[in-house]
Amino acid sequence: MKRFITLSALVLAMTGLALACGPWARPMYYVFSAYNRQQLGDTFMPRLERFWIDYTGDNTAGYAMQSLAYVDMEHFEESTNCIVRKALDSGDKEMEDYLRVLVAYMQLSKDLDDDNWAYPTKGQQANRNMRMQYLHDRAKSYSGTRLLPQYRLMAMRTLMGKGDTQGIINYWNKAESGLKPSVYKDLMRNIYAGALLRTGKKKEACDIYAEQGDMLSLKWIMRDNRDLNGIRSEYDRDPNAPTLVYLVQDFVNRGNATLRAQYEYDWDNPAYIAASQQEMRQFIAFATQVVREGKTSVPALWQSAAGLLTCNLGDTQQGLDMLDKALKLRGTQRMLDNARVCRWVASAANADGSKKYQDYFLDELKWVQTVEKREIEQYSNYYNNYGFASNHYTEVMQNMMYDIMPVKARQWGNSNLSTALQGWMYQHERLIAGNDLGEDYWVSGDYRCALDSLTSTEMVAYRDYLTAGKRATTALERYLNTGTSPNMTTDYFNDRIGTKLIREGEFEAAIPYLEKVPVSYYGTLAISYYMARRDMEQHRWFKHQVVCHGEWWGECGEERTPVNTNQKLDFCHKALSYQHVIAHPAGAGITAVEARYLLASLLYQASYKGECWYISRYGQSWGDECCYRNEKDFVAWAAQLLDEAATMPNNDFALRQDILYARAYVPSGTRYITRTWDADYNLHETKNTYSREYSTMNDLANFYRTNSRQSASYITRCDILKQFIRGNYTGQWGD
Amino acid sequence: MSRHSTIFVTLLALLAATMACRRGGGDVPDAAPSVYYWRTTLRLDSTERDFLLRHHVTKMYTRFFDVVLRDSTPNPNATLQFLDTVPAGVEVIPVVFILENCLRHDLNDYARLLVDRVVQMCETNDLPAPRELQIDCDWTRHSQDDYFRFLGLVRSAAADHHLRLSATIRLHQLSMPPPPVDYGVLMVYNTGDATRTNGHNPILDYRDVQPYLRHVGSYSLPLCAAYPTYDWQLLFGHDGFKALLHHENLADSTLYHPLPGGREWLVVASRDLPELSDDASTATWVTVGDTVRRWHVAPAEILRVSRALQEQRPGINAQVITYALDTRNINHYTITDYEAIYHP
Repeated sequence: MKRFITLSALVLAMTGLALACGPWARPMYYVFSAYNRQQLGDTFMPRLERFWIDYTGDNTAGYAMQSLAYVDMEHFEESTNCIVRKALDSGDKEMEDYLRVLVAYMQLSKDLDDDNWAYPTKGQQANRNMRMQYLHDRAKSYSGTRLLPQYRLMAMRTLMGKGDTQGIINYWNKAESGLKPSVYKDLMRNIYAGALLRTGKKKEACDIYAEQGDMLSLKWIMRDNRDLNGIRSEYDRDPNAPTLVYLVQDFVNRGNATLRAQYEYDWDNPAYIAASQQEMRQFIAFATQVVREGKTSVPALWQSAAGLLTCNLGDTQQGLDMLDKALKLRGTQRMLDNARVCRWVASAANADGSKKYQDYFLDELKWVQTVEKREIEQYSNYYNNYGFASNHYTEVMQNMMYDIMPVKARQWGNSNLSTALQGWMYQHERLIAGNDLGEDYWVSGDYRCALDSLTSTEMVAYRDYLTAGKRATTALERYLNTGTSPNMTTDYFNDRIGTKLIREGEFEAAIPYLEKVPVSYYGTLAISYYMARRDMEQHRWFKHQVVCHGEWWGECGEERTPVNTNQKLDFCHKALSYQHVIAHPAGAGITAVEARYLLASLLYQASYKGECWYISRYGQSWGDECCYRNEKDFVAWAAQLLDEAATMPNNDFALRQDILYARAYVPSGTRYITRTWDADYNLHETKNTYSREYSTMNDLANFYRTNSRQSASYITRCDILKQFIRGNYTGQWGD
Repeated sequence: MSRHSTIFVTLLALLAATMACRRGGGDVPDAAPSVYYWRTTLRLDSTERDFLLRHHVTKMYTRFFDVVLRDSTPNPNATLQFLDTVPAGVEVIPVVFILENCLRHDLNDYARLLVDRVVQMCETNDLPAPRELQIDCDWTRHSQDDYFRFLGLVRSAAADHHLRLSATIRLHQLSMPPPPVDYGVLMVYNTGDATRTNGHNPILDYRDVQPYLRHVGSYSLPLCAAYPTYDWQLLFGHDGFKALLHHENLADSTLYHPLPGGREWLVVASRDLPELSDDASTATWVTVGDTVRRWHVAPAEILRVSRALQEQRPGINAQVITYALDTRNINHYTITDYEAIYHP
């Protein structure tokens, strides 16, 4: 029995990690995006790497670039670094010379790191400065044209290495005009901005960072100017200051996040929110004034900012009108795209489900895919492009299709549309990610949860909606239905509907659906791994069917296994036969007491806590409980049957002890021991002697005390029972 | 009473006073009003310079670098950058903070590296040759042996440079044997757990100091005391402590709303406080509904603790160090407060 203690402990420890079928943890992403979010990462490195990848024709050259600092200068010719090799092997002397300077610079920079044990002496500091000066002179002496941008950047970097701030400014002012646009020139300008910052010219530096899209630097420097006063001050300095793009976007997104949180927060005193909302209203007035004044070259930015905040402050129609106006004003393409996206998202608040709205929604959905695609193509190489989620437009679609519109569709009474919106997005994400895994691969996610939560009747309706086109009347519905999922076959629906009927306790109704599913179909599902290895007629309280030690960590189950029998169908037949005996005990081969016991065992195994959970679902998690309306709680049902069996006349001693043991094992209702933690994380334990668990454990203990000599070994050796009798039971048996 | 008797009694009293002063381990050498300087760049503004002058501060215990594990070996980290000079008459006493986990490594070679580095830093940056080195470490019973062995090695290396060795002593370390150094600085701050909400001031609360007072008198190492002058703004979310907020303006009513009691603020607007990093996850997220608790220690509380320590160990306040020199901290207290703290 010790395993039960161990497993219980693991369950407690890991519950927080379990992916229960419930609300999917996706934030409401920032909607307002007037500059590309990749700009919040390192925008230079991918461009530098691209140069070396093109030069070497080797995709690993990006890594090789960063490894140049470790090239042995004394054995330069023998280096295996692919960049050095390319230069040497192709006889590219000009590049070889540059690489020698670059490697020397990188190694010197490493030496300059102050956090080495060997702190430099004055002489060493002078020597380093001399070496830096030498590299600087080498860089300046380059007379060619091919690598001029690289050498000019080297000259700037060596000045930075010497700490010569004024030298950087002077050099930039001289060298800048002779260079064509390139990543090297941009990096030089970035170094120049840093020098400006160090000489107290913060605004000028910020303008450069903003123009370059170095939002990371900008965000840090402007961290104390992110309020309306900061925006006003920047505008007064220069109505077209590039920093305003960052400041306005930051203000709007933080404002929207605040409003959402304020609405969700249970405020005792709404006066708390007045000051922050007042500032947002003042911003709207200020932005409107900026547009009116005509000094800004990007009124679309200000107008859309005011429009979105107006919508989110509750005046949707006025906000939408403002956003409509923004679309006709001047701004960068990104700003105009942003205004259109904001309008699309904000429109949901007033969405009425009419054909007119659905047509508008569809047009925008199609359009947003084009900008999403453009973003993917443009920034696929960027470091901080963490897959599809980092694409702003994908995130907007995720929020619209998973979070906002499904709720709206249900409000319109169209639950099929609600599910289809999520199905389309699910499929869209898979296509973008190039994910061609099987339909049942993901056990969680919005669409999976939405489907899991449908009743059997709703599932039938959804099947008809998708396959027969019933009630799919609008262009939006037809569009969505083409993209929900190609893997939703007839077998898929028959299995899903049959399984839902099992969960609802309608075993007889499930049979016709399940009979149509070929056994081979189950061999294609992830649950086949368990179905092929487990026996639902084993009693869970007596046997733990280990098929994979990593089951609770999701480490098994990806391996598809052929199955010989449809256990779901077998389950229905067996459950029905026991139900029949319970209803009509006379003349049956087993007693009504035994039928209850056997049915309880079957139900428990098929429940979310059992080992044959695959009969009623497609994945298991420790956080699982009954998910949807109409679903029967098999655990509670099993407990009820065992309670009934325990109180019925029964002369079969072995069956009696089995029943009492099973009763004590099956968890139902309030647990004997409940644990709570206070604000200081102190544990408090309460023993609930009124609980069913206490009562069933007590009954088993009394049985043991009365029949200790005759009791089966699983009772006499039960350490859990011994703990209970001794008064130190720690609880959660059967979990 | 005869004249002889009077002289005898006076002599006895003087002797008793001297004994009392020496009880537990004697005096700190060259006692003087002092400050800790705990930033990564050495640059003093006019307020800080004025402070040193006004309060006759002649010792500045200055963090030179930390020793941390990098690539699984002890390495210097966050080395002080010298961007300014120190006022004439103020002695810089280098302090090195060593993380406890470094003590698990074989530190034989590192003691000399550490001392040599400190000496070199002074030389390279035109500071007078140091007369003392201080080691700061939050050692425990588990690391005590390793730490003391390390200090022995440091002491030996320091002796080659004629350096005195001192160490910080945390309250919980008072119940353990004293480290092998010339004297200790009792850190009378960070006495509570900032992440908990038991109402005690986590910076300094007499109730948290009181259990340790009985060890102070008998602690067999010369001791002086360091008292806090800083404040903390602690951010708590629904799940407890979130972050220490630096320089947040709690008076900004668009962001914070004061709660009754004057010590807590409710966050009414969400925002991220960026870190100097390209990893968004390192930003601190201040969210609507969070609370900020502001702690600073009232001068009366510092003096209460100071007096209690003095009662247990007369002479402990012969040298007082304030933690830490910073314009923001200077403005928390009046000149009179500081004088009272320095000369209780």
